[in-house]
Amino acid sequence: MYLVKRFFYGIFVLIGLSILMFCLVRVMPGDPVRLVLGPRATEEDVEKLKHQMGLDRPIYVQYAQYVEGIFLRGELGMSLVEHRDVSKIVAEKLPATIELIMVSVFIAIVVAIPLGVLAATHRNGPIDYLGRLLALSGVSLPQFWVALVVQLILGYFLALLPLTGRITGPPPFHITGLFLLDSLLTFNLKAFTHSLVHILGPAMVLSLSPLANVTRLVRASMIDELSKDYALVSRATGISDILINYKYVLRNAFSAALTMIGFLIPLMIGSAFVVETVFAWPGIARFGADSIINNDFNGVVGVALVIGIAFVLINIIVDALYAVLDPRIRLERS
Amino acid sequence: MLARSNFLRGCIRFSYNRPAVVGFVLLVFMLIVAVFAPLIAPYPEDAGLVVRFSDKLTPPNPKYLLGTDGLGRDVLSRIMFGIRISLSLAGIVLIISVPIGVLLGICAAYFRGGIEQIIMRITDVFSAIPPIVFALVISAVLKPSLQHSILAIAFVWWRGFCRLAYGEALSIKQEDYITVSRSIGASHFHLMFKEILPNMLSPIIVKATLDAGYAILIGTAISFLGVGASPPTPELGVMVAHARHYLPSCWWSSLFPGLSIFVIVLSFNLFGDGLRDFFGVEIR
Amino acid sequence: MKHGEIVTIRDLTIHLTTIDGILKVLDGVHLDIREGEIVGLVGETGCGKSITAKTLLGILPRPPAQIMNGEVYFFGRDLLVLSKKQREEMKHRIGYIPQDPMTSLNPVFNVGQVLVDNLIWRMSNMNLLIYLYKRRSKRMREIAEAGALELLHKVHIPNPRAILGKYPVELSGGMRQRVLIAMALVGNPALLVADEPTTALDVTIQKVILELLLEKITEVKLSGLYITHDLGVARLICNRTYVMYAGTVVELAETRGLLDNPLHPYTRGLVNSIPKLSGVRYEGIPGNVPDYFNPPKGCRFYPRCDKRWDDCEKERPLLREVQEGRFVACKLFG
Repeated sequence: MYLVKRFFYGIFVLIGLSILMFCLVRVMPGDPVRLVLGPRATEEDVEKLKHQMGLDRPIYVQYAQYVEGIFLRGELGMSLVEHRDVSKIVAEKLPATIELIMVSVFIAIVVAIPLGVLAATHRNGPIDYLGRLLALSGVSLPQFWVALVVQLILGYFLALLPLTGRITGPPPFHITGLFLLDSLLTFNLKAFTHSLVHILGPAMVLSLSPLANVTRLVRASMIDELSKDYALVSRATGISDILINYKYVLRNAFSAALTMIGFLIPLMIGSAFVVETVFAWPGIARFGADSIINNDFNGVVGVALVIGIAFVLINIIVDALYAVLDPRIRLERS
Repeated sequence: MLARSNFLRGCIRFSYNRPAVVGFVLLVFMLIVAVFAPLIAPYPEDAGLVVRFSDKLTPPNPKYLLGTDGLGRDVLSRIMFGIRISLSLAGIVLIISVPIGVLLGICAAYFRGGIEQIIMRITDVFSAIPPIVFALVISAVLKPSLQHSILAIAFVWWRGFCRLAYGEALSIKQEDYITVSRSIGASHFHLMFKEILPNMLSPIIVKATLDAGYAILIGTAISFLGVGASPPTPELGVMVAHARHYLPSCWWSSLFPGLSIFVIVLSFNLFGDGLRDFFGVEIR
Repeated sequence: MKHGEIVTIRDLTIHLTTIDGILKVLDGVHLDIREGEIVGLVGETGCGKSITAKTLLGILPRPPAQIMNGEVYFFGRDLLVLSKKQREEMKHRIGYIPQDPMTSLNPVFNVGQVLVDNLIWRMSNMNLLIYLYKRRSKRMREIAEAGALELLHKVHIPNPRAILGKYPVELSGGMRQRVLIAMALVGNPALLVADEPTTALDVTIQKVILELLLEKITEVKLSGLYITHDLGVARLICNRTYVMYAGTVVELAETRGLLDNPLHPYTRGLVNSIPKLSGVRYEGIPGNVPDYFNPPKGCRFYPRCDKRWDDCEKERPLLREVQEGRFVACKLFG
């Protein structure tokens, strides 16, 4: 079946990715081991730690050990910065990033779709110009700068949103790790409002780029579809315009937007690196940025792998959704 | 004759797109600033190791048009040099990644079979990670510096052009005139570079223009995070990072560099959009 | 507005704005449709037939198209001055059968969904909220489904229940056209507008569809506007026929008389262009396609007419009744 093929293909990509990252990172200059041990370490200590960590073995042996570590023990190697296994760090910080991305995508979609549809149906009207302006800004503004500006204006000058962090006060009981969800599930209103207020700033900044792209795409697709014959026929039957636009035409226009969203999420992960850094958001992107700066190669590889897995998964999901939305694909396969 | 009138018609189409014309003008302006920075900047030495504590952190005033940063350097001059750096970054990245990517893409589409699989799979592996992450990692591997960050971005960038070239070459291959040429016995080289390539130049040029902006965004972000250019280089991202310490009171030292990044990328995007009209081509 | 007339179009002039300039696509078009009759509209591709029909149907895309002048009376009310809502109400009395069955059906919905939606909309008194409510009601859906089956039965689709679940991509061209006819018949319209409904089909299917149309029209004594460029079809179906050229009406007559004895030089050229079985070589009409950017001030057929005089270039001939029921717009006749 098609999806199964994609799955194996994804595994293949992941393997290639892991090899690539592994080799790249081992090539890093500077001796991280020495960094860990500090300037007082003797030659002997360094050698001992190296041996302990298996760093004196040839590289393919190291890779084999690494893979073995993943599958047998679920370990991604020791982080040189935090002195614990990277997999634990990832498990701890991943929900924060997932939550951030989810909220950002939600904002982007909720704003972009109506904006795109309205821009397409009222071409050259004020909404169209606003939409195009937004779209252009979204792809041209440097994210780290926008983050700073948002932080400054909303956090400092207007004091509407907190400056950093994920929550003020105790976090809700840990069920999924997604604060918003957990607080709802445990009826913890205080935690919910706090989390919401904290996530708005970074989410707004992160959503700018996908918002821009999706608006553009929805607008373009809608304009395309609206000129097609079936749209004319629908209008001739006298059905309300709103219904036509949102139900009939959008359905067709949306598949392109969907693939774009799938493509955009990895890009958002990239942007998350800066956004999380500016807002001190405790997610894996920030951990990744820190690892890179600190030459924590296990951390870097771990984060890269997670991102790769996420990418593959998202692609599979998008493919599946595509088949659901467009019956032609389903039928052509059978 | 036909080529010239096509060019003219394209120019007319381009001129209808007013934002694109604005973008074009801005780009030319930026280029002039970049090329002549040492001559036009009011304080060209501020791009280097100058320190002027007495004048530090002054808001915009007639002496320092955009104010000074934490070390007393003129923000405007540094921005001018920063524009120079960013534009060079875009240029170098494109010069490296476009030929490589396009070449690989054409080869993959032309030869099909094993070569195609290898090239496209490698492209896929490179595509699994967002470019900024990749570039960050490579920058770090190569020891953070401006040159290394440029190389890192170029290292990642070819994959987009490879994909584009591959797709375009595949569909151009089906066209009749290729079959005809092949049946007359044209060589591989001739087919690939004299027949297929010229027909896909327009999407490549458009993508290159739009990507230039995106590459600059990534370059400045890398420097902002500290993995690219380092002080005292007047790189726009570094300037924003450095100025971060002086927020919120001394807003000018981070606002203006960021704004310039925005303007540069915006002009590339507008111009690229206009180029689409110029070529009148459907970009797949 | 004479008694018994359903449609009265007077002096309709429409301009189309394009990148390359303004196309003066319609110039002073007159058209009447009486109760119970089928009016044919013939002319070459691009002469303005579809635009006239679309204006009547209310689906002319207004930003590029501009109505410069004219009145379009439908059941006594001028569609051009009505508010949007009132126009939508009038749409209920017209059924539209489009030209291309491939592109005229929404690809992501199946036949049942489209018909049911249409039927429920008719039952909702043009109100979006009522529609949304009724759409959810199971009873309403059943009623609509029964209605849909009945419609499919009317157009002689074998095994209608199976067709309800099919998507357009799964149906043949003839089948799709039948579905489109069924859609047009929803709500028992008083007027059917058919825009070259058989052009995109194979010749054998054409005949079948034509017969079906004829049957449905005579069944309930529908009035109709039948657009075609095929004179043979016009002879079969239409009581009276208008001949259009370059956005103007050049001749109007009862169909048989028109084709047996054409008066206007263009009509004559058309009739003579029909290949005859007797082996006599047929003649085309010399000259080029009309220029809509800068149409001639006088008669628009002037550049290609073999019977022209200088007067024809200066002044536009009006449509005049030269014999009982025969109208021509040509200086040859007064």
